Amino acid sequence: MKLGTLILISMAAASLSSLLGAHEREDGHASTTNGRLESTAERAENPSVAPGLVSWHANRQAASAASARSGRPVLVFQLLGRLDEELC
Amino acid sequence: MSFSHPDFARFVAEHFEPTWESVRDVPQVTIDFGGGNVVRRTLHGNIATYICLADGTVVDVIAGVYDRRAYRGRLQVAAGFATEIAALPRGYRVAEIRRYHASQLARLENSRGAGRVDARKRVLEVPLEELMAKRPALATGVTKLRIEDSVETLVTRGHVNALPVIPGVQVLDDRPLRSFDLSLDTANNERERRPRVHRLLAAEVRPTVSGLTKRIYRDVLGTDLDDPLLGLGQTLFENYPFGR
Repeated sequence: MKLGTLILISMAAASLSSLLGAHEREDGHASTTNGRLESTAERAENPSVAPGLVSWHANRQAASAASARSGRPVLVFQLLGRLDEELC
Repeated sequence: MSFSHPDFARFVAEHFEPTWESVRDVPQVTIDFGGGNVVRRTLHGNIATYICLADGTVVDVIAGVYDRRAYRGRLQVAAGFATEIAALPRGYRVAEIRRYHASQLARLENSRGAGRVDARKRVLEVPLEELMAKRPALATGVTKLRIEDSVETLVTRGHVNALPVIPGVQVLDDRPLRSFDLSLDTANNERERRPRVHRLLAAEVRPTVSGLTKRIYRDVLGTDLDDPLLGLGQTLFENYPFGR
């Protein structure tokens, strides 16, 4: 196999890997149940949207740590689906 | 959605440290009408809002979808209650949370047994009398404690200003309600789900989000998170001739 072909295959693999890893969000939000990997292709059918105008902590632990500093209580908003998807 | 409303978002930022989490995928229905006409909707979704102390102790749960004004009212009461609980020595907090929810459950059940004319007044006045006796500072308006009231009264009255003025009770918003789109959901939450929340939290020895989630969804919201079909299996397949 030629070197150029190998490079192209590697690049394609890296792209697919990043797509499959797309659900590992920087903000840390993830489903708490089945841990199923969702490809960006699947998620594209349910477009991403901004989760309102609220500035959300990444998880309960971060919110609790902020609460200990600020004195404000923690608000945990639970839902079926994702708040940052159009269909939720 | 409430969280997209600037004033509401500001209110949340000023009073809470918020986070959101998904409990499972939401069921989606796709109807293909042909000719490129496709409609997608979600099915059987529901929400629960937990108000917690910094150590994760849950002080209250708002179960179900509320219209924005009622939701804000509930959150405001819960924030005040959380502040009171946080001020207690750690060993007294859960007992006070349980006592509070037991007393609120008793009041709701008693007020529904009262005559129609007096029910709303009783829900307002009984908590005020007790609070005045226990917390004299309320008489001077020093504290910002919100007195829990049936939000149903706000919805059914249709105008917050129609409520009697009570010293120490802050009117949350004096604008007329503009939309009753979620009023039925709100009323149902207050009438049916709120007592279930009170009953659950009155008995909970270690109220945490993790410990409460499945029971909140199953026993309060009627959604069994462990059921792959979320309770819709019978509806979908009982009379379906072609099997699964």
